[in-house]
Amino acid sequence: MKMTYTLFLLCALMTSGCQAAQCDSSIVAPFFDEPVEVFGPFSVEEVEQRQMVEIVVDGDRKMVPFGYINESWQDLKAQMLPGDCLFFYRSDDASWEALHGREGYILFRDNAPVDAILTKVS
Amino acid sequence: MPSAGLRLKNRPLSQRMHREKCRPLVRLASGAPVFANGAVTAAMSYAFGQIGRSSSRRLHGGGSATSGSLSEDQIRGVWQKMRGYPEIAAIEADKGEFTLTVDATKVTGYNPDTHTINIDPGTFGMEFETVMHSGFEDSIANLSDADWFAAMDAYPSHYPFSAERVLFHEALHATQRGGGLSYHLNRPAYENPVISRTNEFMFRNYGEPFRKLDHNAVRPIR
Repeated sequence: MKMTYTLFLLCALMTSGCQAAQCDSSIVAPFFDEPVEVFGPFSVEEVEQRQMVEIVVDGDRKMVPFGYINESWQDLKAQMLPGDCLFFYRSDDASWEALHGREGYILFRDNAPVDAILTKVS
Repeated sequence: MPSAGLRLKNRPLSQRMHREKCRPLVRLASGAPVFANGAVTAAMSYAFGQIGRSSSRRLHGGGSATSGSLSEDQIRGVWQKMRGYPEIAAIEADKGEFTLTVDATKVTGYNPDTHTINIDPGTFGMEFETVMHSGFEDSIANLSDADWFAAMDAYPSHYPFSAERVLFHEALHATQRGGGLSYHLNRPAYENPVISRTNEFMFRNYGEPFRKLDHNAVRPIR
């Protein structure tokens, strides 16, 4: 039992370390046509915690990850493969002052963007 | 009665050169918008300086506002009026009723996850760079030469953001949910269609000048 637990822990640490090595946030910004700040990588669970919002569904208030665009989030999640990386991006302050800011999550695979979900736009 | 095009062709060389000088600024809209008579009148009005920062009565923010001069009640009042337009009504019919917040501690924008538009009243202290557009040019084509020049010269280079423009702009973003990867990576892919549609709406209904597609052409009101 103790052996199994140790092996599990080792695997978890290796997977985490491996993912961190693959998910280099510095590769994200060059894909954008304007300056962005990049945060992450995030796990699916972390993203769902960060994006939990209250919405009204059929008259009931519910806490749902990504609220009314949960379906888009489910689509993005369904595409994810082991080794994929999720980052949060936010265009710089100047873009928001000039009313063209945007922010959201972007999915990377093999150092290239695959899909994204928008959480705010100006 | 000669057509507008013929009238322009027949103008003296100096006028045609003036027009050619302006022409590069015209190429932004995907087809000329459909103008109501009132819009043409409004366009003529601002062309002659009758709708200026000090004299606008129809718009809220644009024309008459200074920074922070719009209260939450005023912004909500404008929003209620905007919801009566078919364009906004259609979005709400499809996506549900928007939630509007007025919060200066948050940026102006649209949150698709909560279907909320937030307005920072400080936005109305900003003005955008304008472009001349074919609808406006057509509306003044039959003026006398002196008036034609006056209209061209009076066309504002910058124009304050109105509550109507900002609310309509943000509401249109709700129609872009999803949009693909280029929508995230490429600013013109998501902003230019919204600016163009907003330009057409604002000119048709309020006679506002067209906003330049370059988003960086925004500055504090001078």
